[in-house]
Amino acid sequence: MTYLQPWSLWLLALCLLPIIIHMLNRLRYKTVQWAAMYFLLKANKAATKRAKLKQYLLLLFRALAVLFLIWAMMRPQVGGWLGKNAGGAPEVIVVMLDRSASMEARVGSDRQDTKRQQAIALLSEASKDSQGSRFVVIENVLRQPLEVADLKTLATMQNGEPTDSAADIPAMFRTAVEYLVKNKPGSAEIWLASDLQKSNWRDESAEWQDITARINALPETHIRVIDLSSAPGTNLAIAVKAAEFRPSKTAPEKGSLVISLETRAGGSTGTFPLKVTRDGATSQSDLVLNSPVRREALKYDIAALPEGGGWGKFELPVDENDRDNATYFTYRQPVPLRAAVVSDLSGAKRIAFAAAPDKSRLDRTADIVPPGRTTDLKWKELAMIVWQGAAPTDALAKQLLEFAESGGVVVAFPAGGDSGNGPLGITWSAAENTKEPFRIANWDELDGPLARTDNGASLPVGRIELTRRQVGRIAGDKAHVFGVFADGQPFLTGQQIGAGHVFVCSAAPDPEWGSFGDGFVLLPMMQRLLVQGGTRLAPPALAAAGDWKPQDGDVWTSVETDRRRDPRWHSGVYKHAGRLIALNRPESEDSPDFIDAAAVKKLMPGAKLEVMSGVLTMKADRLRSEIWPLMIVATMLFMILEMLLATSKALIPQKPKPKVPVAAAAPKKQEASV
Amino acid sequence: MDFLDQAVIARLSRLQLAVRTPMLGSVTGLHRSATRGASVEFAEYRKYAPGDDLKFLDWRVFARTDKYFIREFEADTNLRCYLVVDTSASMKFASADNMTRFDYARRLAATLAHLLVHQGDAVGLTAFSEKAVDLAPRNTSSHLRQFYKLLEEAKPSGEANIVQTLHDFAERVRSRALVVIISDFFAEPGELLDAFKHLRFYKHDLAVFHLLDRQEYDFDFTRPVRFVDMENGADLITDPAVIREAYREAVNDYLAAMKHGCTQFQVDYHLTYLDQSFEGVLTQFMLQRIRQSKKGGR
Repeated sequence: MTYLQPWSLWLLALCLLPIIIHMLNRLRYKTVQWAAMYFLLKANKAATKRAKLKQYLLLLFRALAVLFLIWAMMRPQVGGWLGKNAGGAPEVIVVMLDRSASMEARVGSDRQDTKRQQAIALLSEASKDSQGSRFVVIENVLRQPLEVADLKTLATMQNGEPTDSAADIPAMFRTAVEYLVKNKPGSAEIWLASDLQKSNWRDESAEWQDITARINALPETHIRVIDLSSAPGTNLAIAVKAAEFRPSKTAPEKGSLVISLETRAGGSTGTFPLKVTRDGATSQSDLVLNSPVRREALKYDIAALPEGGGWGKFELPVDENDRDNATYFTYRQPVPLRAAVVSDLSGAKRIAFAAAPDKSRLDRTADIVPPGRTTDLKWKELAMIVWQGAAPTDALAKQLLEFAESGGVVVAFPAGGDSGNGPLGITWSAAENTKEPFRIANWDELDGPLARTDNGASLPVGRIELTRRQVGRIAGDKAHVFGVFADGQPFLTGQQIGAGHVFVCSAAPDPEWGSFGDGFVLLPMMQRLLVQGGTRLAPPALAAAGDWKPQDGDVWTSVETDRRRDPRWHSGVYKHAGRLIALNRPESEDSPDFIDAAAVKKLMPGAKLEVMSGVLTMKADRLRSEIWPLMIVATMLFMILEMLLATSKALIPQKPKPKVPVAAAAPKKQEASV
Repeated sequence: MDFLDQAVIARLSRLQLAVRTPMLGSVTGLHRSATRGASVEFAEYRKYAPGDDLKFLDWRVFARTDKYFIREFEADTNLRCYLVVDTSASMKFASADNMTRFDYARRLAATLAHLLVHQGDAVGLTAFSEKAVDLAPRNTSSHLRQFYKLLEEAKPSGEANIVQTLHDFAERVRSRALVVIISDFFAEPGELLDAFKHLRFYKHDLAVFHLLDRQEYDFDFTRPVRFVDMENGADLITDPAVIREAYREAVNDYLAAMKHGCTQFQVDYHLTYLDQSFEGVLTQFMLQRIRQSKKGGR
């Protein structure tokens, strides 16, 4: 507890005032010659014990009333949310710091400090009241519990630096819970400083049920969320969505660079300078913004593609958040993405078409391979293998496994018929037919093949109607279900195998099976899977900071030598062994959607959770709430108690009233005696 | 003798101080005697016994019945009154505007003595504190002067044992008389009532003036007070606010016990506050006694 008026501490001596007055009163007695000592001695004997108790209680209440009044004048502050539990500091405090790109927004009237800096200051200040606790920091990028002696050091630690990454709040909670389960502290608190960005919290994720259940199972665990959300300002954000080098058909080293650029105006309109850097050369152009989001495709002629590819960046002027004012790209000769559809069923054509619909593009092809001719597969050139048929032979299964582990994508579709096995541990149940169509009730819109589009639009998965299905499952407990039928059976399941993935779909894209083959879901799903498998053939040229992890031992250095960057969490263009990669903040960090405190509480029903809102309007040293109103209430309470006790006869010995009303025997003046 | 107010005496002289029970006086007086006498008021017939005075023989009855009956008449006798006045130190008490308890007692005693002597009754005085001083009852003017002198010279002091004093007095004065006790009666009610019972045993007509100061009842002190016992000097420092309720309870209990006991033993009890007019108190006292006397058959 700290005090805004600590000088008032001296006034605490005034608490003794009622006692001093009482003592002085006792000392300042007057002497009376008294005859009726007979009554006095009787009364004194009868009343002394209880009367003294009453007197002492009165003194106590008076002293406490003065004490709380002076206490209120001292304007005490406690960590309103920390000091709420009077049980003392917890044994462990897990501090979860969201240092995603959106936390670099500057807040406050002076726009000096970012939300992350404010968060660190607030946490440091709050930690003063918990000196006896162990502090464990979990930040959003590494998500490794790190014990620190003093939260102040976060301001200078690498783990407290700004990043261009996103925050996976549920994953951070999981890490915290795992730490607490492993270390079994007697009491713990989880402090989370976050701007409550909806994309970071993934409030629609089913994970929260499991997280809540695990938190509720922990002993004495309180969660404090420092709400750093702020009203949307006029921040501009720019992002390269895609950068593609299209070589000339005559000279592959020449061609054009097509860049999909998205600019979010954040409420601003007007013309802004856009600085463009390409292969070290900088130019500037005007960017006209008259809508909340501007999307454009910029095309640049490339006279000669640099060896290993080229790179560039777009920069906007400094505004509320510096982290979203720059976006990077690299470009290089495209790697052809090839898919093989191993099937002899009629739906194979639809699958192949969905994977490579544009026949004019030579860099994306899909071939149909009958199951009996798998020896024709060019494994090294393939990005995705679609399997629709009986389980492969052992030799072929081994090749498929190697393909997946090297980064390829294997997708299995059902062939109908009885239950059986598919490739890579996939099992099929017997095909089911129904008159009432099967529908997909839930699917993962945040990640995976059924996720929303770049524009935020949902895939119309719910519109798929199937009259037949054959439920496929992947052995093991690491499988992730991307979509489920209304009866809970999986529609699409995926699992990582080495660097690649295997997916199993419970419906074939055949008109006989239903509308899945119509393509409105199949098309984006297959193309996404093909692109995902393309990482096997060439490392990505554009990735999200924080999501992309360099392989162990690889040293990636920034092509911009003027700034210290870490490829684990900073955006920029990095180079390793002649390869380039552009890392940008995740798209989700530009989302203007935030959840509110009520939504946070809904995520964890039953958990001891408190959301401290409005902290950004305070200075760091004022995180702790002033509790003088409480003191005033206490003062009033003690004054009322004093008044009630002073007028009460509760502590005076009461005897039954005499039968004769003796009071009447004390006639007023001039009345005759009895 | 500032304790004598002639105007008050003149007004009270119109009233007679009566007794509630027959007295055994030495001479003829205003009060009913316990024996038959020579008043004009017929009492009863009784059979003639040898030796009876023949002038009381009712000849008419003899003529009708041929039997001898003696006519008897009520006897009127004088009254012997003992005024027992407390002169202990506690009688010095007085709150702001009041006269001291002793002054009040002295006025009551002197006025009563004057009225009694002037209606032909004998008055005696017992002034008691640690010791009792007696003045035997007489009905002469010279005796009254001696009475006044004794009252005037009395100074309240010392610590009285009123209970023992009353028991001693009862044993000393056994012939029936009017006994008027004027005191503050600061003693255990049970013991006091025992003493009253003792006096009533000898058929004394017992009247009690219980003198209290209003402050002794109200106990309206606002600050801590060091109370010093006027009789023995013992002191007690206390906050009256703290014990006021208990004090009043004690007073009320005490007064209830006194009143109840006096009613039970037919003691003429008068709780008198020092701020009351003593003339009013005496008027009330005398009128009440007259009413009670008439009820008693006279």
